[in-house]
Amino acid sequence: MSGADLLALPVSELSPLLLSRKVTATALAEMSLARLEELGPRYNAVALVTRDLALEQAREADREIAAGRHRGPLHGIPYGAKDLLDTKGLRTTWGARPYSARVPDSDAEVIGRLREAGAVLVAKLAMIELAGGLGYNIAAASATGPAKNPWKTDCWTCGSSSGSGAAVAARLVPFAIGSETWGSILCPSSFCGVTGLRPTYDRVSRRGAMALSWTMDKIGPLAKSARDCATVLSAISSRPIAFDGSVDPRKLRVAFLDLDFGKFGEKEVAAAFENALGALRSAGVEIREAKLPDLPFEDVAGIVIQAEAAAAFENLEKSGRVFELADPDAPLAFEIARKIGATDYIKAMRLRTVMQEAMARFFSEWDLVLAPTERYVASRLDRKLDEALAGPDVLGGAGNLCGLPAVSVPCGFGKEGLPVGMAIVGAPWREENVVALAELYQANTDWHTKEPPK
Amino acid sequence: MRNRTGLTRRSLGKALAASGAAALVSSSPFLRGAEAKAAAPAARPLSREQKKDLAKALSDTEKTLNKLRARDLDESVAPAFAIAIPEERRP
Repeated sequence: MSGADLLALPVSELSPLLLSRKVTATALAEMSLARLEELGPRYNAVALVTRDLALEQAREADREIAAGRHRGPLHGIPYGAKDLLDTKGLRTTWGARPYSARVPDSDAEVIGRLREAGAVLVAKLAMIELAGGLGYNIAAASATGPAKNPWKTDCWTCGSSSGSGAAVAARLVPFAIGSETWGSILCPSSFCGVTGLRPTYDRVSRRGAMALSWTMDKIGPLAKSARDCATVLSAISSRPIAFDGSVDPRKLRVAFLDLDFGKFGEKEVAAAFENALGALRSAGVEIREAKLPDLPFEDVAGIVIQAEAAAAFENLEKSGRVFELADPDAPLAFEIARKIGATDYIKAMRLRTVMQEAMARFFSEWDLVLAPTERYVASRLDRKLDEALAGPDVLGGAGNLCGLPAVSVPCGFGKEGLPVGMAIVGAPWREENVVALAELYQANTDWHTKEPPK
Repeated sequence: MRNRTGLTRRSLGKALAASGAAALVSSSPFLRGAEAKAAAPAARPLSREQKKDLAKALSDTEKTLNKLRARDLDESVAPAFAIAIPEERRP
């Protein structure tokens, strides 16, 4: 089997090969490193290849597995981490030129947990600068240039976990770690045709991760299947979580949002989502239409993020190095944030309480809510993003403001053969429901197994 | 984030007439190129388009803030600093 073929396998199939020693962790790491070095630049997907560390970790995994000390399903599996997670002694640049020489002296908690699980870190992955914390309107807002979509390299991957989406889609790594404040795991998953899981806020420790918005940042996996995402989440979660198959997705109360595609969105995306609902219904899931509470989720999320991001990056403004960022409009973010007074921020956080309670009521009637992850497929690299992604994102605003877990699964193709994603959103701390439905969907469809052109 | 938040720069061009924004733009420290450069070697004055962007974004933000300020809330509602619903309260 070639490196590309082997790296196309999900973790759930690679792990038994490693355990039975049909493949060694060292060989797998070498394949991944070779593809990262050869193809990473084609997609602008890689910030740093961690060759020496990877081979050291892989050899150790092989020694342990040979000695019968198997650490679990991630033992010997290569992965990439978004370049906002600290790695001891290795450059961690937050995707931004002002931090190009930043070398942390300890690992982020997530990196440590994956090391303990025996996973092999092969690369730090490209990202939108500062995870988009100061806003951005161009795909090129990254120290590594615009991330190119493996399905069509003149199209974007979405952000801010751009490299994480591209690297999994292009079979450079079997899984990757990304982060989301608003859309940064789900959107790249949708655009790149991979499965991404945004955990409940605070499920995964943020220690050692760049802070953009202390009250909204989440860290989660992008992989080839919902099962793989669950495996990775189990390893990185700060609180015990069991995906033990005890949830019957056919018994869940599932709603969908009937988004208006009249003004914003692409009809091919709407059709793919309709088909996905049909596949779930055929699999025995009852799905009914619901409406989210009529509250200004997006406005409040925007205020919270702008205020917190301006505080998080105030040193960049003070030093003047904000002007080194790739998006020339980044300095404007501070001017805009200064309009937000302390009482405005507190008011937004009080409205957030109202919204969390409203969503808790919503989830007393429903277990899950479905919608297209994005209204569009991947946009051209040169398009302004406020035009390419125009339209409301109420479920994204509500989900992130209220810390709700979600999975995006590939559910078909839209314009120019580009992937479409379906978002499955659940109540806080109920990742097992979200994963159960995603797994049922993937057991009955094969969109998640489709691969971009070689 | 997947891109700029909806508050900022949905479109360009009409903005300078918007309430109060023009005055804010003209007083922005980013517009005083020489001073900005002295403080920060990479600093550069805003282009005409950026000024329009900023004015529009400020106007949009002001409108959003005014909407939120106008919302009535019961005094008992506390800020959500504890963020997501705590695990012990999971539905």
